[in-house]
Amino acid sequence: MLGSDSFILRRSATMISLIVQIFAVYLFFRGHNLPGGGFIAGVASGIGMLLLILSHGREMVPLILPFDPLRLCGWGLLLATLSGVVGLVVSGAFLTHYHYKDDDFPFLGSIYLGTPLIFDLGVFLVVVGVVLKISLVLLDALQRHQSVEMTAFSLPRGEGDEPLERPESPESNSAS
Amino acid sequence: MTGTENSLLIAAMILPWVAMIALQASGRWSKSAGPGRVLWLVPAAITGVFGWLVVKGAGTSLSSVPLFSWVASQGIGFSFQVDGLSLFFGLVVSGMGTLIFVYTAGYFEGKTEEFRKFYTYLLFFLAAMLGTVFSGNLLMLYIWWEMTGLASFFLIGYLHNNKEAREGARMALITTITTGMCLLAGVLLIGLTAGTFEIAELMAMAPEFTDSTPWKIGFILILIGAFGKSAQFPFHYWLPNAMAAPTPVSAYLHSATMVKLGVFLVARIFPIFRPLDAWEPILMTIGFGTFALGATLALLSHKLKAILAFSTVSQLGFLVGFYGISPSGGAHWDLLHIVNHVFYKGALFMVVGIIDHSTGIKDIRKLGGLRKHLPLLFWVATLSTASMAGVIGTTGFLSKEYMLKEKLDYLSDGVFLNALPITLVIIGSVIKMAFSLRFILHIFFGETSKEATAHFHKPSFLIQFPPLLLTVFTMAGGLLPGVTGLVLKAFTTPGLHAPEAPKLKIWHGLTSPAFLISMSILAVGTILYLMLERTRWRWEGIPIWLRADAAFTKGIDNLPAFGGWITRLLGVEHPKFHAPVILAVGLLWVGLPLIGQWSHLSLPAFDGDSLFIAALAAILLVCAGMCILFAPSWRAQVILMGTIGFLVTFYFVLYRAPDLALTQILVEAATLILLLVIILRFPQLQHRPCKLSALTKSVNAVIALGIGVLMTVLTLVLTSTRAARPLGDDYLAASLPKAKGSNAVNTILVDFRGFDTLLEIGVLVIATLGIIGLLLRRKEGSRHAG
Repeated sequence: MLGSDSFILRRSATMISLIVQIFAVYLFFRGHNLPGGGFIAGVASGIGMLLLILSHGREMVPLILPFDPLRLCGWGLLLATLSGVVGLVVSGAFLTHYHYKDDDFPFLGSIYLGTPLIFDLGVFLVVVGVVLKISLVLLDALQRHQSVEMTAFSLPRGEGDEPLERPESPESNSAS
Repeated sequence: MTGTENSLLIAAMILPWVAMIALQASGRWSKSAGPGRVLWLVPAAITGVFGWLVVKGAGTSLSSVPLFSWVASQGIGFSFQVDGLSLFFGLVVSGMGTLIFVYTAGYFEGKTEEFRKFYTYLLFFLAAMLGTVFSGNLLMLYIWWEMTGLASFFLIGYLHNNKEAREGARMALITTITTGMCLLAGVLLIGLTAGTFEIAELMAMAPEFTDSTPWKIGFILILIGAFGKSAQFPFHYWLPNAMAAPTPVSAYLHSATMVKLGVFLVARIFPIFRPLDAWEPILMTIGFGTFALGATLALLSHKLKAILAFSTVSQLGFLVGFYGISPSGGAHWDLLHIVNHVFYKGALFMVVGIIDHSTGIKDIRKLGGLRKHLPLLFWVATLSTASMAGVIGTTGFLSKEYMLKEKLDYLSDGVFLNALPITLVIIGSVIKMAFSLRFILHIFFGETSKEATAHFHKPSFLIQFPPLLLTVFTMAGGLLPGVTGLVLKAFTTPGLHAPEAPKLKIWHGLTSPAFLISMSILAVGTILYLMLERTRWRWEGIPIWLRADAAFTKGIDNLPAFGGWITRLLGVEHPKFHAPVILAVGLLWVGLPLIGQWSHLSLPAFDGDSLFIAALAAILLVCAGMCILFAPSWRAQVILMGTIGFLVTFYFVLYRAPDLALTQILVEAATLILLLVIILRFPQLQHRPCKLSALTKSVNAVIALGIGVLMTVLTLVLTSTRAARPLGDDYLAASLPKAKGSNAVNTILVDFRGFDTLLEIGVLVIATLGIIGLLLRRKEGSRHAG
């Protein structure tokens, strides 16, 4: 269901979504020193996937995420908690963070790692999971109301016009 | 305790967790018969450790093992308390666990795919129980305590295709968690009054607080928690309904270990609260009242497991009451009564499970004549039931003898109320004798029922071995009282037990009053049984007015109706009813105090460039806001709202808050997509709401204008009174050196206030679960749909 008739929307949504995902990863990693971070990256990534789902239809979901998004939330909470447990074990205080910085790392120049990154990854996963799960649940609830017209936001066209092309199966879409 | 002993104890506590993870990680092996053959070694090893500690004499002294502090500022820490009581319960949990692990392998014979899940829950329960009984800190005890409740919930609802199992699990969870909340409140009150949560310290400080009211209230609340867990009146209804669980669970959790936690807690707080005046009357009436009530209900039941469940309730009542009347100097032989119950009730539950396993029948009225088919089981059941009834030669007899002696001593104190325990105990014991007779005679004797033998298959020896072993213990404990006494002596706990206890022996002489009463109980019980036999046990079950569980279920079922009534009463179904009320109240409450404070207002300072942008954004914002009022459709209004959201970003950029601006843009985008594409397509929102009258509209307009003015004033007030040293500066300064990050917003989120963030994402997940429940549970064609 859902899924637009518009070829242009579907193709551009795939592109935009890809760009948004890259942007989300970028936001995630710059978080500690520049505007960004797990929460924002999570929302961005969630929106990106939502765009894909809305343009290609509900059937798209198993292709981009082959399991229940709620699992992401669970893993996220676990990761965030575990990153805090490190501090609990090492210094006895929950959520004390540790950092590792190497200015002379082969190939990458300088790298910076630390438990805050794991914590942020947890936040990221939870946010992505929440955004997706809520949207999917809403979509499913919507699906059960059969009276909704299915083409509410397709391109306007005249009475009796044939769509430019038949909606394809999601597999062939994702191949492009 | 020495270092080796400490590390052994800690290893024993961690072992179940390790086994649990290993079981989960072991892939296909865990779905074969393997776990059933091997996993009993886990509780057996733990039993070995505890046994060794007892041999080393750790049971007669009190030692605290502080591990590490968790929230040091609040005095919450992992610490173990090792004394006779915790070692005794630890041994019961792990020893009984060993037998149950073996029994489970036989019970699920041929259904090996169940092993992984079932054993995982059992190991989780084992770990939680050990944590509870060894806790040295009341708050930690509470956390472990609730974990056992959770394990019990999983295990009762294990056969989740069964409605009874689901409802039983729900009832058990709601009851124990609600009473658990009382326990938490009580623990907090006690801890805050005394300034520590450590049990050992509380024991030392207890005499100072006997007159303090919070102390007494805390005591009552803790007792409620204990009563809920141990199924004491008025919470006795959940335990029989928990019997929908597989039998290993009933034998382990709901007779031998978990339900004894209430008794354990009473024993644990005995040294702390015994000096209170309220101790004796409360525990005595509730405990012995439950003893008689439970016995009566057991007599009225027909289902095998219900009979045993109510008799468990009854025995737990006795134990609670026993601690109630124990003198403040210390209790005698309380552990004898507990261990006696563990032996015979565990064995009987296993027997019932085996009968169910081989005949498929759960109702005593349909059974009969199984003696020839199950000869070994017959002896096991007879001896264990004899112990339940208190026939001479069993541990049950010893237990009853000493409990009667105790009651008689108590009687001689002379007050009228002191006759209550002995009266209730005699009544309860008579009834117990009657249903014990019925239990044996109706299952194993009489004519063989066709139903029972139709699908009969012989149980394996493996499954019969654990109850056999328990019966051997029952008989050994009863026939060798000297040894029993010696073993129990090794668990003498300072503060709980009197240092000198009367010697255990079987024979006190023909004329000892306890013996005479004991014998007459057996005789009267037999007469009662014979009288009931003439009615042919024809009643349908427990009469409805005695069934508290029916009332409970009704209450739970009516809860949604009550919620709906409240909702309609307050008019919260649609914002057009309640939003004006809330806003008007807010307006008056916040606005009125502001009148007359005009002189404090000042405009924030803008420099030239930003003033232009700010003004431009403000004009656009106002325009968008005005447009909402006159927009013709939902969709246009939502888009305009989105516009406002995006325009606000201007200000975030202006005040150099790029993080906020980014978040605002992304969240606004997500909200818009959700609203436009999904939510507004629900049919309920397709038509416009009904027209409001002109009067309502004008009132709403006045309120809206008032709120607008109020917010403007508030903004001006709040921005003009900035703190002399804003908190933000500190964070900015500390961000790089302490959190190793130059973006202070992010370091606050993940580091300085990381705990907040952790809980916030937790709340996010909980909210999602709520949304799932609200949206997916609604059935087609219900009141709200369409």
